Amino acid sequence: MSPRARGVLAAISGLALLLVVLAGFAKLPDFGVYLGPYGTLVDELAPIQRKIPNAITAVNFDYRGLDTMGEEFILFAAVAGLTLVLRKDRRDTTDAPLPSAGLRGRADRSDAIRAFGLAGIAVTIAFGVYVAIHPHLTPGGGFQGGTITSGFAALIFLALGYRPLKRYAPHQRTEPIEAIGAAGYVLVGVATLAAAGAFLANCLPLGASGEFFSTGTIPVINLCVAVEVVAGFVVVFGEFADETRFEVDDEAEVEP
Amino acid sequence: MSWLPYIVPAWIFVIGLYGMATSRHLVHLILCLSVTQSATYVLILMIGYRTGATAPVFSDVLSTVRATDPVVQAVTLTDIVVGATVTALLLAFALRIYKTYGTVDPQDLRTMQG
Repeated sequence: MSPRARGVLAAISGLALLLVVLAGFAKLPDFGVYLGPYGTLVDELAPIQRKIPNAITAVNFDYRGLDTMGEEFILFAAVAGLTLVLRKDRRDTTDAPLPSAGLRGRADRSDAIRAFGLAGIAVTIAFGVYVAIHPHLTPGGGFQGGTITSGFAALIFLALGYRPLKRYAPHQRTEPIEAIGAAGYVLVGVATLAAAGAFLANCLPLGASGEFFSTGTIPVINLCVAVEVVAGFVVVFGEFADETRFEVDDEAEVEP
Repeated sequence: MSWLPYIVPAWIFVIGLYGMATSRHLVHLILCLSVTQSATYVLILMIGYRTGATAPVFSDVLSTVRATDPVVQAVTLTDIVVGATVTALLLAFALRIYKTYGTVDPQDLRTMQG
């Protein structure tokens, strides 16, 4: 298809889409006017029913916990698919990193990047874990905190290089951890199904509002999500880092 | 003029679509897809907003204070993280296409597949 034909096709379908979008936008409520009763109800009930100040987390990990499990498995499937696609034509996958990675010299990394990267690793982990373990009391949670925490792997790659990344965040470790996080969510669901008769029913003691150990199953599920998100993103970083290796013949590699 | 803010998600959506339609590089195309997707976040967060409301986290404010819809925010925050991994998957596809066909231009790609 020529670029011109593609342009015409895009213009026609764009016009058709415009009509649908305009029709949809015409029925939207005015900005600042909230119609649905559901959000108002959750805002009113979550702090009382679940002793949780953060209504968003109450939706994510309690009221709509099943939906979040689905989201979590989309993440899991995406990471699994990524490893599948990237590893297909790679010579070795789970063994020690290829010596050819050493060809990427350290000389092209300035001291400033190394120093700030190393300092950033500690800050990233501390802040990420802080955000991740306070889903109920602050606007934090496993998804946000897990993503921040996983930045440490990217910083290791940036500041130290490929080999340290493989040493401190190897595939063999992070992949099972990701699976444990995903399985943990399901296991919490099954356990609550057995204990309370409903999947992901919040049947643990709720505790007092504002306490760290409170709101029942929510921190438990949140921990599973945090573990999975951190491990998932570390796998993603590791897989893309593997792509930076130069392919070198085995014979050439043994020479010092 | 209460509909005026809705121009923002519409604009993000359209500019992302335009980028995808005219893209000459797969990485550019994937990023345009992310832009298009983020239009939905802006739109549903707008729908959950009500004038003068605070965030639905009642740590510092009383739970009787007017707050926004927590449902759309919960959906958005999970989807941003999940969307990042899906983008990573798409980038992996782009890498694989480059290795197989030797090009990252979607317009060349079509002719190569015949």
